[in-house]
Amino acid sequence: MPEVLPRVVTRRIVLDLDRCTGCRACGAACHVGHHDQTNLVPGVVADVAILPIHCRHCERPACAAACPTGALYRDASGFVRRSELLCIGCHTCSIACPFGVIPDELKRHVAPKCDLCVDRVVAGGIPRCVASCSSGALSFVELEPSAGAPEYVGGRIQSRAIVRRA
Amino acid sequence: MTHAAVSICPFCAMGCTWRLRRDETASLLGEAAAPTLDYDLDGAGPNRGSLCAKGNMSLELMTHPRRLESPLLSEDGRTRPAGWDEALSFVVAQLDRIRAAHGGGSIGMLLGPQLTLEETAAALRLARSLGTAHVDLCEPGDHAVLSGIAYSAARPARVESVEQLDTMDALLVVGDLLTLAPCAAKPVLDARYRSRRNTVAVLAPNRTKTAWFGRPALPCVATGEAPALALMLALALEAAGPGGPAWADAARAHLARFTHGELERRSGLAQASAAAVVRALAAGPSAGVLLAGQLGATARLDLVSGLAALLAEAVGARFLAMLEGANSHGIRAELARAGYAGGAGYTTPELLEATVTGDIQALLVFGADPVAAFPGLVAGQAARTAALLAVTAPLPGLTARAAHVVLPSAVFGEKSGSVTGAFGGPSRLAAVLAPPGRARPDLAILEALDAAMSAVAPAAPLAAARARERPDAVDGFCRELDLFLAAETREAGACEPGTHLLLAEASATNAAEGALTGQLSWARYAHPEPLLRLSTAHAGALGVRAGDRVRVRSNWGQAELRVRLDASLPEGIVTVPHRDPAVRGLLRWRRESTVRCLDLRPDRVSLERVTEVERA
Repeated sequence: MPEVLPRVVTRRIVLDLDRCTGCRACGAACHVGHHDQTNLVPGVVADVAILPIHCRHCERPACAAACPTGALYRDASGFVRRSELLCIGCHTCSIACPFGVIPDELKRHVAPKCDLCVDRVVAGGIPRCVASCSSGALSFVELEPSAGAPEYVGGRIQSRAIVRRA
Repeated sequence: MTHAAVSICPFCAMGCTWRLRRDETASLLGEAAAPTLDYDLDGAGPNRGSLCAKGNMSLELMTHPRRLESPLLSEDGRTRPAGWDEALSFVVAQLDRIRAAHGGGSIGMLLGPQLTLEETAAALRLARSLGTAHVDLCEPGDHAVLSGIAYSAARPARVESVEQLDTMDALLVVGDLLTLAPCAAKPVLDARYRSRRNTVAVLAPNRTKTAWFGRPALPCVATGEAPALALMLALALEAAGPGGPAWADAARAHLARFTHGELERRSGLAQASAAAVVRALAAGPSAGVLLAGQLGATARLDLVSGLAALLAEAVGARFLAMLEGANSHGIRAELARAGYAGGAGYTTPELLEATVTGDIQALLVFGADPVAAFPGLVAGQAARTAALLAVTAPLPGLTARAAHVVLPSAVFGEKSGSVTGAFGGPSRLAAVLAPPGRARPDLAILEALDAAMSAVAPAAPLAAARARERPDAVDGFCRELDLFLAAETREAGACEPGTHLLLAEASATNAAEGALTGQLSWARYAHPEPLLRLSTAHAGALGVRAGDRVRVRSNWGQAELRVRLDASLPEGIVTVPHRDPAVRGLLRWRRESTVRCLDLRPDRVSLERVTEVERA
């Protein structure tokens, strides 16, 4: 697996709230693809919905700033990565993350952290969670604002129509 | 060298494809690399590259640590590994003895929903050489749906491909389709969002994953699916005027016995909403009725599926029945083609009862787990009383534990063949991995048994089919419906204060449903905690809110469960998912020799809110 991608990747995972059925295929794909380490935490919304909460790969990551050993860092391609060798499993990153995307449970003594499936993205592919999404809610898109594109709020597409859900 | 091939997901009738890859180059340590599963096949198959959580975890089935690797023989209560020759000759000798003593009609065969079409054909050949007519599909939900549709005599046009679903602009979804087949979400949601005029009505008693997206969502009361569909059918037949399909007059005459108001009260569905959906279905240039063959334990699946098929035909919509078994549709069609369906022999529940009464002496089970699938007492008793119980299974299930002979079999990905999913038309699956140890595909086992039986004695003439009362199709179906609609809801008012009636749900949630799915860690992953469903009115009386924990006490034990409120439940009734280990202590069990059996009759329980102080 390459340490750094040859170019800066500006594509990010976006969730369409109007389409997510809460089937959790994304989490299962992540679990199976990362040797039984689930880097994708489900967010349970008041017993009515289960949504995946993805790592935003922030420009100034709070998790990396909080990491005492420098295990978390933002690499040249723009991905926030975690070194398995340096991570001591201290949970500081999981407390620091404002989005709560780093789960508390450790696996093999390290904190689970989304790597945007760098092994697939480097080959021109898309992350596993997006590929497996059975309702078409997840997409891997350029975040460049352009005319006519839906508005992104915190990594999610804001509802494009006001729909009443009974 | 890498070996890769396309296989089919075994966990529902959608027929999604995935590619299985195995690297044959041994690593430096001399071990072959673990197989990998790819799902993004550039849109091949109805899943178009995606794969649900069940499918993603299906590799677990092939690499499961508890896979059976050699035949097992039980003698005097002891189980020991045996060779194939010994195991097969034991089965053949026993079958021959039983056939000589009681005739071929005393042998029953149950086929699991994951057998391929080739294996089904081989099973039917074996049945013919054994001289028995008692062959049936062993999957309770799928069995009910398929017999309901056949019984109702409806012949609606079928949804033939997922592309056909893409263009639909009026859909009626009955049940929780997106939980049973999450890969069907894309076309359903496309219909939902393509145009504001599109109708995607979802008929379900509680707010399910699918009902969440309904436009409109049609909430009915528990057990209200059949009356709601009867109301829609009555409205559709009225709107269409005289004439129509062959069954229309009989159905019209029958439905006239119930006023619309009565059906409205019984279903909890407003007549105006039902009429609007029927209008949308009849008006749309392409409309569909989609049935998820997995409703709550309180629903009559056979009536619901028959009525849904009749409604689809009445309004000229296409019909799709999504089932749990990958090849349930195919197996049923093969059985019908060979003349085994439709009253020739015992159906699965009848077969299990006949085994208890001693009518059936030998039970051959191929790739199914009837004791787990029919968790009442009958299946357990049948497993105990059968003179010969031979089971082929990839993993040790409850039936295998009670069997005299267990033959290890292969799962999808380890065997080749073809299956027919919900869309019809066979699709091929290829073998990539070898079955573990000495396990063999069911086809090899069936052919070996058939060859051995033919060598022992020539094929006996087929036992005369037992003449059974089968009422005329539509009339019979209507009479069943009549009985169901006329029956009063429940003895709800009889509950004393503080006492509730506990129902163990078989399939209201999809947790660990089916013998194979239940073995995956997906089951615990998708449903991490069992929930107690409680009616909103009773929760108010107890001072319980959604998410609170309550202590449930039954005559058999107690458990602490989190509460989920459900406005559609009749008062005084609470439900738990019976397959969950956390709630099994609450339920009534009986030990039958080596098998513990659940008794799923409703039971009285008391509820008590667990306070925060107590928990601390």
